[in-house]
Amino acid sequence: MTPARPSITRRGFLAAAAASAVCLPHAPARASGSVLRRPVPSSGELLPAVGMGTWITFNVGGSETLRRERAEVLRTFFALGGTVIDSSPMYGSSEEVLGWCLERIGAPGDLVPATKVWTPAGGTADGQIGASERLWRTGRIDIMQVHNLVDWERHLDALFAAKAEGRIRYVGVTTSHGRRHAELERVMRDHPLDFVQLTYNIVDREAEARLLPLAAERGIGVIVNRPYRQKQLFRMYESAPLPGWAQEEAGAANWAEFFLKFILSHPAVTCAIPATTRADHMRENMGALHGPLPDARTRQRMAAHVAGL
Amino acid sequence: MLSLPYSSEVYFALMADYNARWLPAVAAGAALSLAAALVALSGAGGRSGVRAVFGLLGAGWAWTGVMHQLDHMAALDFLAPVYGWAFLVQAALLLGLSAVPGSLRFGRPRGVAGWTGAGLAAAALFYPVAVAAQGYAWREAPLAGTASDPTVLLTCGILLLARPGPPLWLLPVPLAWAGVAGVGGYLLSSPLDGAVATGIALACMIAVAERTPWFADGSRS
Repeated sequence: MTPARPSITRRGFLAAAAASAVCLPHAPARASGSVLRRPVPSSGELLPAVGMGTWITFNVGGSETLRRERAEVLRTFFALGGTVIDSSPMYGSSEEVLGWCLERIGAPGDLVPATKVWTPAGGTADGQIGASERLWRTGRIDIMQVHNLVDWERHLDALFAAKAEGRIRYVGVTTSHGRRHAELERVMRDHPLDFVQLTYNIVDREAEARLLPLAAERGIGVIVNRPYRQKQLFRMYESAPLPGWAQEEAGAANWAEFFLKFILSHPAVTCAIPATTRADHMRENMGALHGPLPDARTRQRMAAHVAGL
Repeated sequence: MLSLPYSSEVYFALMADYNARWLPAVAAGAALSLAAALVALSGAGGRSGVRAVFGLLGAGWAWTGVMHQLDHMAALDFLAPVYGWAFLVQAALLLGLSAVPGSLRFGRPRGVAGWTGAGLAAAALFYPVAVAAQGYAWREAPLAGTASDPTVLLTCGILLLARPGPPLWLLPVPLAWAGVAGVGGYLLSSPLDGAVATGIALACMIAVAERTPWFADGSRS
């Protein structure tokens, strides 16, 4: 486990974000070249800016054939410098399948397991931390989030207590599909969260108005889910050619990098967690960890281009 | 847009595992489902035939509730336990009707209800053909008696063959399943699930409409 660092100031966080936009990987044997990393505001720990989600993609039950395929996706993710993996007890067999894959290919020491408390039918945060530790076969969970704000009043105290005991390192809350943003904003204002997870992509930009600025102001890391709107962005736009200026101005060689770099170029974003079942798509996702990011003017151009398609 | 926690690819891949794991039982379930349909279509056995048909349907719902939903699907879908218990409730209702069939009888299909019922029962038994037509392997096909969609569809078809019409208290669970299948079909872009939902909803509508004098006169003439 990487020890948590002391909290840093907002100014320090922004300076670190700027300075560490691209830095050398800490595991040279895994990823060649530099990868984009972002600091966790509350600790300064640097995380690769592209992680991996598991919604639907890792829910493959007991099928050994499908598990082996997912293990290859995971192996590719690690080989290209990924460390942050997000899941949830709500995702069916995903956590158990992750554990199977991690045991099979070996979990790297800098793995950052992120999962959630999800108790629609009762249960405790403590119990779910233990269950997830067993299912992931990692013996630890680093980022524990309240899933979709379900019972967050009840769970946050337990998660902060678990953090104080050193059982987990970061506490967060999640939402998706742009739901319950007003409530999320209240939680962000009233509680010392390490992370929020929310939906943000080149067409779903509601978070830019209040949540992302608030996260930066409060020193809360942002994990972005649904970066491709669950494949929809590809269905909508990939038949069109990538604009000629994408490579030079946005550092994007394909649509996956185009969509991800739009997200990662927002200064409040810590990492995005695209999900995939294919190793070649994983390679495209991880490509966003390399090369320049678009500036503010190019971000506007990217959004306008997509809106005009 | 909402989504299910699993994909069609995974659902059918795991159906192959389920069928292989319970091979003797799934084959027996399909054979007994065929037998139930034939008895219902022919009216063979009179009152004993009615008992046998509802007994077989009840057993199929019970197996499907426990093995397909509470055991198999629960690994993929957090709502599967809810579905599993609903299947067990329906199993109890069907087994109760098997014990006390009242004046219900089966016979050769007649009228709109009878022929619709025969068609739905046939569709349920030939469900694997539709699955194969969607590009999946035969071994991945859900079968009547041991998997949810074809079991519900078969039951709805047979209920329409019952005279003077099925008890209405047998309809809520299948109707609820039509909703589940319809939503699943929409979210997974699966026309097969949509067809199942439509078939079940149609059967329930006809079963209710049968109670009206106008429909009864028209369908039985």
